[in-house]
Amino acid sequence: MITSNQVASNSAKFGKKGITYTIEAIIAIGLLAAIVLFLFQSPPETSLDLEKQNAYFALSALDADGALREAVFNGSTAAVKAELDKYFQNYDFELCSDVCFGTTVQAQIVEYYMSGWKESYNPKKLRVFLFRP
Amino acid sequence: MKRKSKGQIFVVGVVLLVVILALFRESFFVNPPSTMTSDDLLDNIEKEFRYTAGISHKAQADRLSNLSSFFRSNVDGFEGLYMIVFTEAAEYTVHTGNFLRAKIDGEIDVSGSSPSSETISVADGSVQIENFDATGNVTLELTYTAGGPDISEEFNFDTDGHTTVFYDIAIKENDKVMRRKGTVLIV
Repeated sequence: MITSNQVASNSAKFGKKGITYTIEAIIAIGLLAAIVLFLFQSPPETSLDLEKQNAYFALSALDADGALREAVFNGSTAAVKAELDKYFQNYDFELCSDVCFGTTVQAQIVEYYMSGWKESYNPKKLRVFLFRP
Repeated sequence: MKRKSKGQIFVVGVVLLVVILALFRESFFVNPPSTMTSDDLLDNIEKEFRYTAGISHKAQADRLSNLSSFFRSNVDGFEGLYMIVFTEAAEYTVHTGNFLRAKIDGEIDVSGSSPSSETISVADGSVQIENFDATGNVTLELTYTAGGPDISEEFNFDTDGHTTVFYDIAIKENDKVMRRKGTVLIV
């Protein structure tokens, strides 16, 4: 025979279990939602992309100053290097009008285009090779 | 006595999902990570396009055509369309440069001009030149197709001896297209 005390005890026991299951389920769903949100909030960005973007910003800034463009269209490799030295370390570069020969060394390559200087038109490509330290 | 499993299955599920998502994370994204630098590259190209437009007088009308060819051979996925309007006294000349990697067919409609429209058919990598007579402000509308739906572009200029350049340049990368449009008034 089941007494009223036993019924009350079992009811409290099962009620407590139910709450535990619910809390576990909520935690699991919360974890899952947090992970999905974290993974899909933006496309993955690699350090190489950031490195290339920073290099673009640097070349844009040097171009805005005017000295880099002047050096490129004067054909002065030393002057171009002096400008690039302001922002880059452990790098190499080449200037080409059409065909670029590049380098055989493994490097991140950032290309920057310049179409002319003052009234002259003569498009050139400045390729900067960024080496890993 | 065997213990009954409770909510552990959820935890195991979460761990498995984390591993799966982490392994295939990059393939879930339509855009490859390099998109960011392509956007910068297009900024660079647009700046040079505007620069060259600024130094393109009638005697050097082929500069934008030359620059478009230069970018096409140097930048993967580059394509562009431009129009240069050279005005002189009561007449003006419209150069339409097509570098869209497909022939374009369409029509140029111009307000207050004679003729009021011209049909154009420009092969890829070519320029078509049309002459009009007009004075004052002109609205030019280009409607064309490159094999797909009709596209319409419109801009204004004055026949005051200045030059106006319209450009529509893009880089296509996989399924994504990055585009820049604008007009440049050269005074």
